[in-house]
Amino acid sequence: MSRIPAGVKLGVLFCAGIGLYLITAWPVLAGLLASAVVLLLWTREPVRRLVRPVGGLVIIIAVVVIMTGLTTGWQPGVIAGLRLTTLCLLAYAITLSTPFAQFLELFERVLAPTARVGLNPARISLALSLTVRFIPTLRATYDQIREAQYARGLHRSPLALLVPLIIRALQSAEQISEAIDARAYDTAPITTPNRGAR
Amino acid sequence: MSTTSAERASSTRNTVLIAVFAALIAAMGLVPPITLGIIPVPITLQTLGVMLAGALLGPVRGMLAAVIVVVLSLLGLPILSGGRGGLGVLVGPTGGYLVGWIPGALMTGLIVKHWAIRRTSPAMRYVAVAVAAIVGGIVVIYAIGVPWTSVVSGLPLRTSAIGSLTFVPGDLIKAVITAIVAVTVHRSYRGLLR
Repeated sequence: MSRIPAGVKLGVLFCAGIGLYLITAWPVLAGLLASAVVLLLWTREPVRRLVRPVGGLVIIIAVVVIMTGLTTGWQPGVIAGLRLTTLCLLAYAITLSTPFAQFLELFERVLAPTARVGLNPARISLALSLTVRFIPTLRATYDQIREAQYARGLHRSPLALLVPLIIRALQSAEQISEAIDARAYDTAPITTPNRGAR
Repeated sequence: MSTTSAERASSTRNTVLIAVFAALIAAMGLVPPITLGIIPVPITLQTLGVMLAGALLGPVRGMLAAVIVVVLSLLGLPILSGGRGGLGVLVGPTGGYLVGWIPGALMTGLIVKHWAIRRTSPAMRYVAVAVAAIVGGIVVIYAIGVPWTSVVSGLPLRTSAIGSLTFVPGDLIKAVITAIVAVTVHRSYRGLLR
């Protein structure tokens, strides 16, 4: 399943999203749900690792089914539940069988024409990868600040945690953007050779 | 189109700032979510991140930070609260609350940049930023999330709206925190909104 191109899989999901809402017979929907389960198992993800996310999904959908059942009737409730579960499992199977890098690649390809309207695909993908890199860094900074504020007895104040976290994040943003420019990362055409000191 | 080095430097700085705030929104999802009673939307700190992105970076960059988080989570990174992520979120009943982050951050940013931060009295500034966070981070996000839930799940609009009220107290607290943090940070970091 992972050999199918990401674009095709997304297209299938999109069509399934529309198609499922056109079907109203619940036996057909139940059959489609079964095939979505088969697809999910086909991704060869260990069943143990599927339990948590799918369990969470089932709880959310059960609530929706019960609330619809109580307010508008049980048959529409069950149909809505079948549709939602099928669609979510299908989307989940696609996400699991497609590496993140493949999606990023597809994304860059889709965005390539935007260069003509003044956007810069290279800059967009820089922003995406920087974000992924910053998440653990911010987490580490947060832990440091929390320890420091714990020592001062301030660890319960959201202000004493958030303000230093954001100030530090802003400072590292400055440093990193200077470092990127110093390395002449090619994200925008440059015409002036001499760069004024700031 | 020619670009000067100063323009390029500020453009790099904007890219990095957007990425930092996108990461901040994502990192706030690492704090475990609390699911309230019977309503299938977990309470998270992530909307606090969305409000802060708008209030600190302004409309355009704040919105772009939200766009990045939405795109990355739809591509399958488990960065939404509770380790969720993937296209399933979009087609699920809570998808609207996620998509709503984008106009939510934009709206918060617009109000902060053009009105709230220009209040002269300090007390008024706090209140004004809180109002911006409430309009962008609550009104706009719910305006998309509530109908989305009812379209996807077939719940009546009224039930969906009443269910969402459970989250209003938590979101109001987040708006107040946004106001205090944003005004404090803007005071020590001037020129962030330009």
